Amino acid sequence: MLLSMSWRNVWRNARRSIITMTALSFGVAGIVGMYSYRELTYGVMVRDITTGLVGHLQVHGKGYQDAPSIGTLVANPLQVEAVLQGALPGAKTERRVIGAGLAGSGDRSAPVMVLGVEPGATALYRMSAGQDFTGQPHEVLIGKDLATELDVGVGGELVLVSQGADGSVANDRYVVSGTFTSSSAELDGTAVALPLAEAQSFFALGEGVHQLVVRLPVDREDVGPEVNALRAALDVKTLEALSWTEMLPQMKASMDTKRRSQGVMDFVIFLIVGLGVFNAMTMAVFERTREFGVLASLGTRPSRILAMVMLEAFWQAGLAFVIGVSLAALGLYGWGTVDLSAMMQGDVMGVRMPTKLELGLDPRALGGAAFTAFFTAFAGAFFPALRAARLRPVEALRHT
Amino acid sequence: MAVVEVENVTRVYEEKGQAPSPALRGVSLLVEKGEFMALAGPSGSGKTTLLNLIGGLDAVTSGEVRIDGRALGKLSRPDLADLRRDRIGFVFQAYNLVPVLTAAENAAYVLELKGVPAGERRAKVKAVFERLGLGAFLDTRPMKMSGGQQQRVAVARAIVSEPAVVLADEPTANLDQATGAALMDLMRELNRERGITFIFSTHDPMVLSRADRVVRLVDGLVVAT
Repeated sequence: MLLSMSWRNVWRNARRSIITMTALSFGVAGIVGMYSYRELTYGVMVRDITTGLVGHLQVHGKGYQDAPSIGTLVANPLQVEAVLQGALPGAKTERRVIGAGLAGSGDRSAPVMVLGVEPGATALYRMSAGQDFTGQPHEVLIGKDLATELDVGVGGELVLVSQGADGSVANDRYVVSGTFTSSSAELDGTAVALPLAEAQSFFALGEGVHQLVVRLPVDREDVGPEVNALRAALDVKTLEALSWTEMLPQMKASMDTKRRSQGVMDFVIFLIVGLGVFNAMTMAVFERTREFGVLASLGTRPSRILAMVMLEAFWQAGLAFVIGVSLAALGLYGWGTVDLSAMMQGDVMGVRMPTKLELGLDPRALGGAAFTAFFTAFAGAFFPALRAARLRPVEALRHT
Repeated sequence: MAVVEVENVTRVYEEKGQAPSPALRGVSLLVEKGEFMALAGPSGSGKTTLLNLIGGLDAVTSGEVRIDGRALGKLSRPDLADLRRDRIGFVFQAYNLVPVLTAAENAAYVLELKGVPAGERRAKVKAVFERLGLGAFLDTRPMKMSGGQQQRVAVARAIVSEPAVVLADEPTANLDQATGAALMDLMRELNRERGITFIFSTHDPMVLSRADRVVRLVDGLVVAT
């Protein structure tokens, strides 16, 4: 009877309850909508980071992250890969060489990033013209924008000049077999990709590589446990293992800061809504003062009266939650795809911002929105409920 | 054996900025099980105050009220609520039914508080409603009932849990003469059938004529019993 009584009490003053629930519903819809939008954007960014240049984790020669040097190597990458498979079963690894150089074609030249990648194993780029490595000697792929800058196309000739790890001059002539785009505008404009063995030979690295890029079987933002497991398994005197958040700390800090800002905004929204609930419940309790006196005189314990008023808040929060989530889902799925190309162009902190976003409801938003809605309703209802519970029956019965 | 013992009770209302106002001044009273007793007196004589004190709705300034030998002044608020639930029924002048509950749910409310299973509640309420001529109103909301019907539902609510004592504060005040007389006859029959003790406050001669005993209060003092 307590449940049904509280439910019916919600509808005693339907207009007031609907106004209260509308405020709560819009609060929930706002939180769910903004959370989903933000996290979907971050999800795309993290996916691009972890599947592209950076990966979830990387293993380097000790000190490479702070001071990248052509001579700071993972000297025995195949052994390290074996250790890594033991520590992180199911993880995929990619060996990579990275160096700086100068590329020339015809009378044009440009500073470039020379990448040595494992043909067929890298997800770093997508071909935009020509073909991927075919196994022929002296093949090179270049970023689409760099190709434009150097005015070189598929089949064109490219000369690379750099310095080897042993101090020798590194230079060679290559044929462009294709151009690519990647998850980074910087790569598109500066990167030249060579097959790994070709790059190791070019920079005189022997078997060494600069990066072992690790991709975990499940894509997620927090890879703290995995990086700790990897550190425990590696020889940390000669190697370093870093998560993507450690390699892009500003990116992670920016995401966390925006999340905190959103949290503050959520708090403000629900503070306002909570005051509305408080006002509505105070009115409801005041109007029913005499009835609470009757219930008390019939033998209702104060705790039950408190529970009844809190249940009224529960029903309103529950309905508002369902309506709010439905509104957010309608908005998000109804909007569908958002074109962000006008808002976000190029890289931010080395990561290309998404240019379009498939909107949808992020299930992780529901827990927070539910907690906030119910907490707000309960917080707003608690003091009126307490007042109802603490009424002295004889005084409540005199109330008109 | 006395169901209700009122021992030298005073109740003084003190409002800030106003002189203390004594509503009861040393009232003592014993009510035996099965009595059908009226508290009579003019408005302001202390009838309702005394009923409130006996029902544990208000606290004495001095003296003591006991129900079934239990001193109300020594009980906590939850214990007082339990005592009211288990031992006392109330009938109010203004009926005071809960508007969101049906007539049957109003009557069953106390049984639900006592943890009586739903089926048993329904059966008990139905039996009492039949007895009070309310059989057709089980699922009717109070606002769709007449004053007399609502007051009978209030009586049903007061007696369905078979309390030791029913306290009725001017139960006929809002009813016409015939309806009020019928209600008093009904309460009298319930008193005789079930042995429930009734204490009601009134200044209605019709009600007083049906009481076994009349306790007269004037200015907070018992002047005749």
